[in-house]
Amino acid sequence: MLLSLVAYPLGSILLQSVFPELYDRGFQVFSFTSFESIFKDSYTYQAIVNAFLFGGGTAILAAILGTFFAVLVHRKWVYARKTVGLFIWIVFFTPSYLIAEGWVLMLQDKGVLCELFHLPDGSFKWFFSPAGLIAAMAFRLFPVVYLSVRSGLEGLGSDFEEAARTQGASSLRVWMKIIIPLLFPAILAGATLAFAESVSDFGFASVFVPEAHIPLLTYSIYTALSQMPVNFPQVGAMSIVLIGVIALALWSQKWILGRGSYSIIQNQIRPYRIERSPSVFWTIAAYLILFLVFAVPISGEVITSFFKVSSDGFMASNWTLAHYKTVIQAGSDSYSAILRSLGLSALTAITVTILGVGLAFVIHKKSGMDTKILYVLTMSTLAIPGIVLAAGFVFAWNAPFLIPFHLNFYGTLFCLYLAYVAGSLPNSIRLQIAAITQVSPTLLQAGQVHGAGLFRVFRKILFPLVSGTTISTLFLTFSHIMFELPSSELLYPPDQMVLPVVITKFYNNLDVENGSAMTVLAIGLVIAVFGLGQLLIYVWKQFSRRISMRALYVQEKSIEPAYQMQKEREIAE
Amino acid sequence: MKNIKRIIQLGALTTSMMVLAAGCGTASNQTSAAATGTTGKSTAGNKELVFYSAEGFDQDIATAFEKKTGIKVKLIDDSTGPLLARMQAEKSNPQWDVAWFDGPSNMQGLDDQGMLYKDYTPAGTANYNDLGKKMYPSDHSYFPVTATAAGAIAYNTKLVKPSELPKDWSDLLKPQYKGEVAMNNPSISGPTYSAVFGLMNVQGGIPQGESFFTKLKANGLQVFDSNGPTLTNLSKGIVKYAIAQDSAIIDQINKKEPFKIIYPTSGVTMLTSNIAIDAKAPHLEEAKQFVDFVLSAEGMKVAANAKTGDANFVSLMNGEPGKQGIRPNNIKWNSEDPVAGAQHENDIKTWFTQNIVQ
Repeated sequence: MLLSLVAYPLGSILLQSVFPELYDRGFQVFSFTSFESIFKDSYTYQAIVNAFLFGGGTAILAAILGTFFAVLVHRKWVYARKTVGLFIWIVFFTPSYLIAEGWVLMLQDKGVLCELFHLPDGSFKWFFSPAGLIAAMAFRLFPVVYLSVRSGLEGLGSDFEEAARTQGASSLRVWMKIIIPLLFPAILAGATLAFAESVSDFGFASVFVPEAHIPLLTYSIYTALSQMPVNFPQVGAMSIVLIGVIALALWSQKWILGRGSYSIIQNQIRPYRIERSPSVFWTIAAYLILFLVFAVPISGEVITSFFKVSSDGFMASNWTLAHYKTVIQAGSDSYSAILRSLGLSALTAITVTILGVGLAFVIHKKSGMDTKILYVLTMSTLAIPGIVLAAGFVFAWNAPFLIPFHLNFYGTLFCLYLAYVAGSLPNSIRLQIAAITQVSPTLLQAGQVHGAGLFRVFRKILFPLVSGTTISTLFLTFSHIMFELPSSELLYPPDQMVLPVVITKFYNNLDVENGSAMTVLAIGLVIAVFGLGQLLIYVWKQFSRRISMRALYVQEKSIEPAYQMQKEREIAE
Repeated sequence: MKNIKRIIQLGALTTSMMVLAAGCGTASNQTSAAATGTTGKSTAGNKELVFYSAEGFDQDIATAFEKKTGIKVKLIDDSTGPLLARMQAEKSNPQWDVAWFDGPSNMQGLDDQGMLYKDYTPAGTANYNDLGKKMYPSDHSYFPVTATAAGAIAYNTKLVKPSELPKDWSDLLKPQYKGEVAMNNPSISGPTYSAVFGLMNVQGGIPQGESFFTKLKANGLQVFDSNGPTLTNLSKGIVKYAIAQDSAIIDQINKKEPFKIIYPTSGVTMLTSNIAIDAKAPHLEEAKQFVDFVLSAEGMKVAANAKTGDANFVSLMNGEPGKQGIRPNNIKWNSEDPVAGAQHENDIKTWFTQNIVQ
């Protein structure tokens, strides 16, 4: 199942790097010429070095920002924590090409900021530099670290901290010597993920590189893809290089963790007791940063969507809602595309979440060779730019030898769905592993000792404990797929457009206003679905609580919980 | 270990159910795709056609054709780049019948890979005017439909006086235009490769062309992704001149942008949009009918009246079914050799990326 999902399409593109005529003549022609040609080129070396430089810089900055927000939100130092959480979550799902485009809209010469404050040209030239690229990518990716550190914090009881305090340690000392070291694995896990995402990200590369002139791996892949005839062998070879870079990062993460003992308390997870009231200072700081990382780039889109003609700028007569009307006309292409994307995203989210829980459990518990292969496979899809994975799906599911078996899924929505699943599985697994790591095995054993069946253990113990993460994975995947461009562009069936394709079509036809309107609308829709989900969960919780209360009453038994339940986490943080 | 197996089984079961459900949801599409895509035959009464296109008026043409013939047109509309990647990834088992996009060298590239059908001569080809005949390939692998200038010079009338205008490409190297010129990236924007290759030929060849662009860069040339951003930057006054496809410039002029066009005296490269039939077309007969329709006066009229920049084309047909009076009459048209264009494409794009863009 997973093999067909990930390994087969991936293999069909990677194998071409050494079998350049795989789809013409099978495995007959074997050569390393593609590797030779890319390693002869100083451009490739520069790009690899840059990958480490930019990925590393992004990972560090994202780690700092992510940890900062995780602590603020978890320790309740800010007002309106839910809003902060919501914003971070929106940053996470907004596709990088939109945020990158937003930065350019805002900061370029004669961009929105220049017009608003009448700044001279070149005021923001410093932003389109290596440092700016790192900052923009970190602003986009810090939620990954945030998510990882938050679950780390939840696993971290207050025992050690209280012990240290009793011994007279200062607040700063407690942080530096106890909390940060204990959180280190979580921070590192998030940072590694941020590294991988930044190295394989294409949105920023495509927007920043032409303006900032920095050789990047993903950009060379794109160049190879736009050659005529398309240089698929070279695309395969460069993708392998990319996987290598990210494998190195994952491996060094393991190596660092293996050196010391970073075991987080695994047995008693007691919720942290609130000692401090929210502080105005931290709240302002948090919102300022959030404003910078999100509102600045995205408001370019929002403002444009209300303009009649974007180049006319801020004039009273230039505001309109007409673009919104155009895009949601019932029966129009964009309307049916929205519906199609909603369905596909929901389906993908459910699949990925269920698969993610199962696979995370397997990967966490077992350490055999097969598990390692499984892990590497799913992580490879993380390393590879979406468009390459999508091309792999074309090769794989359009292959002539599948015709007799009627397995040519290419050209159907089902194929697009498979690509969506393959693309979002790694993140799901990563998040679930982080959650499962916290569940002490003794809890499961205790359940079994008391005679609970296996299914019951899974349902009554494991699932409730990881349900917070599960639900957030569900929403994250959903919103991510709503905007997934590369696979959608290459795999959408004839006459059945999906949302991101429609948005790009508007932009390609220089119809910026309608494109922005569509984008803003879609973001609103995702938030609405999120709100609805929250409501459903709330209702369900109330309902199940009432049922269980009645059950207790009927049985006239008071049962002491065998273990301290973890406090309900807020969903989707 | 046993419990883990159970859990995996459970997970597998749930997912297979999910997949099944998904399969049902798309079952109708799958069966139709299987019926048409894999057997390579179309059943009578349920005629259809798969049309890959990067032209702005593709939807209009498809709708008009559907109305006329009752043949259902299934359209994939995308930028030329992703569209070509898709077609070549499909190469072993192509799903498309008709493709239509800009750039003869792109078509030549597909022809070189044996992907185009050569045994059909549409009636419309008899009606080509001189420009059309010049662009029609001798092996009949594809058919020129419309033409535009791959790169002309647009200027912002708010920022430039008529007396300051450059007359020819070489003028752009003068110090008075330092930092005032922008163009597109040929690796991202489809028509730009033709413009670059044509300009190199005007300079006398590839080495001379490379030296021209190097000097242009030294004179402060700015490179943006494609027509969209380049013309936006012209509108905002970041640059005063922009080299872009003339149909896109005309479209912006029609949208009230303060632009005008200079057609340099040494000539502009003619960029044709070309239509071709798949060598392994699943619906060959319908594809032929479609190409006939596109090359007819009726089809050209639909294209010329569509609300898109691409509708501002130069006609390649006698009787000029296109729009009139949108270009001066004295334009010098240079035609690139698509075979040479296809041959040098990778090298020139790579050179441009590494020496001019970066």
